[in-house]
Order: sequence, then structure tokens, then C-alpha cells
Amino acid sequence: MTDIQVGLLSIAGILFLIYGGMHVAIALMLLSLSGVWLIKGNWVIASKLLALAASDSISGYIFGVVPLFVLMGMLISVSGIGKDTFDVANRLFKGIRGGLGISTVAANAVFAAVTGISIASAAVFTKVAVPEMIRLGHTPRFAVGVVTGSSVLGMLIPPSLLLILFGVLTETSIGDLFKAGIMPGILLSVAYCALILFMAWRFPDYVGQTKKKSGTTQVEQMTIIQAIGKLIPIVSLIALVLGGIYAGWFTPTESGAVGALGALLLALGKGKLDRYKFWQVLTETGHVSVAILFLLIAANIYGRMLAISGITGFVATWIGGSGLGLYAILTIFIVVVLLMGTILDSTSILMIVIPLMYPIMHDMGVNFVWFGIITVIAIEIGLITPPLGIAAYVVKSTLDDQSITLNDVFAGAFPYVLIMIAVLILVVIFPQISLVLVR
Amino acid sequence: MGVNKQREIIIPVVNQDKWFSYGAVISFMNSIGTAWVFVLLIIINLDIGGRALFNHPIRGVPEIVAMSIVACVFLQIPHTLKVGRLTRSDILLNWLETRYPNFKNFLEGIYFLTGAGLMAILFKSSIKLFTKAWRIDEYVGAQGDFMAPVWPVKLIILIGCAAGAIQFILMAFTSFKKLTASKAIRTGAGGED
Repeated sequence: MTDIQVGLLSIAGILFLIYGGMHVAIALMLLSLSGVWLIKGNWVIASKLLALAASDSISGYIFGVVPLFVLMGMLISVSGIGKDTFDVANRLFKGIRGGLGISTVAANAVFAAVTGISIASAAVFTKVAVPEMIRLGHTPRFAVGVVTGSSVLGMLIPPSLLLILFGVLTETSIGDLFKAGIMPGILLSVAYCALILFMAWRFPDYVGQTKKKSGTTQVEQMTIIQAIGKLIPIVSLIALVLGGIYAGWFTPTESGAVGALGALLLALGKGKLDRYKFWQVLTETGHVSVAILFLLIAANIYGRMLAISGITGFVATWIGGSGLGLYAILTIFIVVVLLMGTILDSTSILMIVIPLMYPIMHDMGVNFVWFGIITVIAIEIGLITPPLGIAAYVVKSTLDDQSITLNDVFAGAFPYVLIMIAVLILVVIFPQISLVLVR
Repeated sequence: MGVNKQREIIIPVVNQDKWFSYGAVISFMNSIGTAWVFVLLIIINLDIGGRALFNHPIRGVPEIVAMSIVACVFLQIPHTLKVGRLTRSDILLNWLETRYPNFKNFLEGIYFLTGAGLMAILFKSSIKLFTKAWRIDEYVGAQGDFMAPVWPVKLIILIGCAAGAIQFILMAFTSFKKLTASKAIRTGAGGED
């Protein structure tokens, strides 16, 4: 067997085992280890590579961003800030048909600027927005669809865990990636709002009749002062975290620490955090971060295996000889990512695909900030498509109303999938959308 | 007869919640890692505060953070594994569970054993890194500024690998036990027919 054949077999084996239900990190490590062993014919070298990956690959200041941003997201979700933001948006879009849907999207976009994980957004807004929408006469399918669809903004609008991981894997500046995520995030939010207005206008039955009775609830009588009061905490947190990165005051790790501390103070200040709950949040943060960082170790040894097998060079030469242009390759790449997204979680896809694509894209002289945004949007589509859409599962499991099925969630989210694909195509065709803010 | 057999099978499962168990050990390891993240949060903020207010950063914070991340991960792997939060795709397994529960338990047992084997390999190959760091007094940082020995982190990697391997073996054991248990129930019921 040639080295390249070993490499290809390893990739096939990894996908087979992962789909079969083996832990992703274990499958990656196992077949990378045996791949290197077969190619080098030397067990000592292979096992030493594994040990080095474990002790060195995540030993860096930058990896502190993972637990810190996860912690910040978790604290923000228990702090009740999501509800405040939704209330203000609600007041703002009162009287527009489909206004509640638009409020959900807008509140999600703002919320996304302080949290980097889509599951946090999905959980918070299922609790906050879905009951309110159903109370005012929207159909359940429309309500859960809006929440599921707009939860992906959490990972696109910075800070974003996926962008951080992409930056780490490809040694691209995380600050630049964050700046590049803003415009596509805003574009996606606006496109979502347009979709909601369109649906409310053309398919009122699908959206549901809005009851026009009230005018007495607290939310609808909110004054400007009250609204500003509700927005101050989240706006100052955004200013601190993102402003700090853009102004160059903080490294990404430091902004994560500052943000997490800010979120902690906010949650304490709002009286939403007791000792028990805080420990729960910390434990949850640990589990999420460990799963990701352990995957990073596995991705490291997998990347080395790919390099040793010469597979990436082989694919790059093949692409060079095939006469395929950049767009053709990107199209193939996006389709592969979408297919993987139907069954794998977003972090795993990133870890499997990027080490393989990095050298190829590098040879083609692609701008990695732009490529990062494309990758993240493509991966995010998988969050809300069946059979395995993590965001949809989170929405379903957070719902109080058990009569709404998982099927409703996926069906409701489907129009937003189409919008995401359209935005993805726009970002591919017009790199300026993502790169305009990057200097 | 069949009833008796079932009862026999259920009894050994009910020995959790003892004050000292393997679960308590890895839960304790997990708590250290959990608290550690909070400590990192504090020292990074102190570093920023010190730099901004007193023009005096804390020495060695980047080095401490870098080493801590590795340590936290290996302290928390066993517990993350135990509570089922280590990433995997469970679509096939869930489907098998409803159709062919025995095959599901068998497959899962094999996966867990593989995981145990891999953690054992990682343990064995990491021993050398630990002994080397211990022998030559390896440290991070710069002489005269901030210095910290590397060996504690390498030791934690070893502990984490060992604990992870044991946890995998325990989970494999549970899966295989379910397999034999359901076989016993089925043959027992079959005899009654």
C-alpha cells in the first residue's frame, strides 16, 4: 500500500467509525495512530506523536479562550438578559405584522454579540420567545422555526466558538475572523426579517393570526427610559468584549476573561445566581470545553497523519490538474460540509475537514478570513437540518409544550435554511461582505 | 424461575452512592478542573487590571494559563466521558437500541474497549515525557523572571489517561453485562413458553 492509500483508508475508516457511533476523538486518534504506524513502519514514532499531541497541541495561552467564552455564554444565558433584550425588541417592533418574529431575530442578533455558542441562544429564546409568540396567536411551527433559525446567529456574530476554533486550526487571527463575522451576521439577520415579513404577508395562515387585544401588558407600555435601562448591561458588555478586541486592548483570551467576569457580575447583580447554580454553570462549562479541547488534541494527530501520508499534496496536485476553479472547489467543499452537517456536530466537522482543506486552500492563495466565514456558515446550516440538528434538538428539549414535535421544529426552520444558503452564496460571490471590516 | 433470574440480575446494579467509589474519585477530579477555570478567570482579570491601573502585570499568567488548560482537560476527561458529554454521533446507536438492543450493547462495549485501549497507549507513551520533565527539571518561563516546573502537568496527563481508561473499561463492562443480562432474561422467558 502506498502512503496515500493508507491516508485515504484512514479517512474512510474515521468517517465509518464516527457514523457508527464511536467517540469522535477516539476514532480520529485511533486511525491516525495506526495510519502513521503503517506509513512509518515504526510504533515508537507513532505513539510518540500521540503523546506529543496530547501534551503540546493545546498548551497555549490562546486555548484559554475556549472555556472562558463558553463560561461567558453560560452565565449570560442564566442572567435573564435574553428576556430583557427580547422585551425591548418586542416594544420596538410592536404593530408590525410578524413583529414578534422580527423581535426574536433582532434580540438574537444582539444576544449573539455576547455569546459564542448557538445552543445557548436556542435554549434562552425557546424559553423567552416561543410562549409569547404562541400566546399572541402565532402557529407553534412558525414560533419554533424563528427561534431555531435565528439561533445560528450565535456562532456567526462574534464572539463565536467556531470562529475561534477555525482560527486556532489554521493559525488565522481570531480578531480578524471576529471582525469578518459582523457583516454576514447582520446580512443574515436582515434577510431573516425580510423572510418573516414576506411570510406574514403571503402566508398569514402559516404565521398565524396575531391577536390585537392587549396594550395593557408591561412590555407594551415600556417607556424609552425603561428600554434603555434594560439594554445598558448587554450593550456595555458588547462594548467591553468586542470593543476591547477591536481597539487592541485585549487579546482574545483576555477579552474572554473580561467578558466572563462581566457576565458573572451581571448575573449576580440581577440576583439570578446562587452558589448552587454557579457551580452548575461551571461544571457545564467544563464538560463542553473538555469535549472540544479533547477533539482539538485528536485533530492535531489527525493533521500530522494527513501531512505524513502526503494526502493533501496529492489532492492539491489532482485539483491543479483537473482544471477546476476556486468556485468549483468551494462548491464541492460546501456540499461535503452540508452532507456531514446532517449527522455530525459542528466542532467535529471543523476538526475533520479543515486539516484536509488547509494546505489546498493555502496553495490556492485563498484569504483565510473569508474562507473561515464560509466554512462556519456552511457548518451552521447543519445545526438546523435533520436528522442531527443540534440547535433543533435543544429547542425541542427546552420546550414546555410537549405537543410541539421535533418534526415541527425542523419544518419550521426549513425556510431559514434556504435563506442561509442564499446568504452563503452571497458571501462566496462577494468577499467584500465579510472582509470590509477587516484591516 | 424467570422472575428469580431477573431479580438476581438487578441486585448487583444497586451499589452506587457509596461515600467512596470510583465515581466519587473522578467527580472530585472534575471539581478541581471546574474550580481551576474560575481561578484562571480571576488571575487573567487581575493581570489585566494590574497592567491597566498600576502598569504592573502579573508575571507568568500566559504560561500558567497555557499549562492549566492541558491539566484541566485531563482532569475532566473521565467525568465528561462518564456523563456522556464526550462528542459522538448517537443516531445509529439509538436506532439499534430500539431494533436490536443486544447488537447495540455489543457494539458500544467494543467502542468503549477501544477507547480504553487508546487511553492506555496514550498513558504508556506519555510516561517518557513525564520522567524526562522530572529528571532534567524542565520548566516554562524565563530564568530570573517567572519559572514553573512542567512535571506536574505531565503527571496530571498520566492520571487523566489512567482514570479515563478505567472509566472506559467500567462502561464496557456495563454494556457487556446488559448484553448477558438480556440474554439470560430471554432464555429464561423462552423456557417458560
